[in-house]
Amino acid sequence: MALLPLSGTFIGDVTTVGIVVDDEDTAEVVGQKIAHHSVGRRVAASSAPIRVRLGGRVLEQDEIIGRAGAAPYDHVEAFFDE
Amino acid sequence: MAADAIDVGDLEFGALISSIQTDEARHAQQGEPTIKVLIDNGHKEYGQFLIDHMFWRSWRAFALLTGLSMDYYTPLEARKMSFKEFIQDWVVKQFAEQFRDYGLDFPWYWDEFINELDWYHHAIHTIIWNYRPSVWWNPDAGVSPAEREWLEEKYPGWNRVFGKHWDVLTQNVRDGKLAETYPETLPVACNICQLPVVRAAGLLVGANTDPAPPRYVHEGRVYQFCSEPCKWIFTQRPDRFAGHKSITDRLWTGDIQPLNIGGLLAYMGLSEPEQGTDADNYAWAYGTAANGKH
Repeated sequence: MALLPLSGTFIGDVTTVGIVVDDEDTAEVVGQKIAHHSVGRRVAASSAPIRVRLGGRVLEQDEIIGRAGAAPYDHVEAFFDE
Repeated sequence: MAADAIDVGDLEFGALISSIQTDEARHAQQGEPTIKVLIDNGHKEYGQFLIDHMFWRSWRAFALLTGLSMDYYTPLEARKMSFKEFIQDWVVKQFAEQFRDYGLDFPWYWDEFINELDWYHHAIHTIIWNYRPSVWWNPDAGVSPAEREWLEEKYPGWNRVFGKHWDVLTQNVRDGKLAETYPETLPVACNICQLPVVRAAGLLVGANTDPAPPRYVHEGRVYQFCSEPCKWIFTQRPDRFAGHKSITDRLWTGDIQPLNIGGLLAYMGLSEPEQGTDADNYAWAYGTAANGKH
């Protein structure tokens, strides 16, 4: 249980945001934390599930972000899996 | 900018900018002879390096200040040209010819700069407007229906790429969801230019293939950048820039508490009267602007 600073981009948005997650958060939770700053704010909402990509790999929704290899200040992409 | 301001009756701002411009006219006289001295004394490579460094730094500041002013803040009826047209005339043609006359090359990132004329300042404007409480002016959204038509005419594809963000913002305003038009965290700020990293917008227009901010590790610390030229500027002389914390670094390292926009505004020392608000009180979202623009 440690704070993990990340940069996050929701694909389709114009900017990358700085967020702080917990290294025990699941990929699903991290995706939601990134999406919170884009979806419904600058990116139209969708019913499609939100997935997360780290280092080019799409994470399973229940993967723990710290154990998936995310290091402080890594970049994580979140996107609608349409 | 001074002429535009005076044209619309903002004499104070016009006088301020005119005064600044006389300073800049003097500063600008120093560049050419300095480059000439460097080249005449066998330091052409250093002259090229200085041009490459400062042109990008200036471009970033210019895109923020003049890009937003010309394409969004100047009232539609007073706009004489787009920011892109202005840069193409004054910078691409005239300034570039000047330093090429000295035998210098275009900066190595020239194609990236030319590409950015179509999208960079539009992305920056969207984010600056979102973060309007954190700036000391009242940003004009500049996206009334007529203004969006102008933007589409000057930048074909603007509505597809940027208009769709403003569609979401406009709907939130109309639905009374103003809170959704304000941010709850910070953008990642580039460790060189300190501006929001908007590489993702470049992805949308096909200019970038990867939204991840370019990064560089120096003495164990991760630095992040908006672009390869900003990263290059850092890596050429890292000790010149290392150690400084961007505003996002300060969020990440806990300097800004609480970790939200309220914490940011308190950290910046901006009182509520000083925080920027929408220049038109959101009239643009309802089809007409407060001053009758359509």
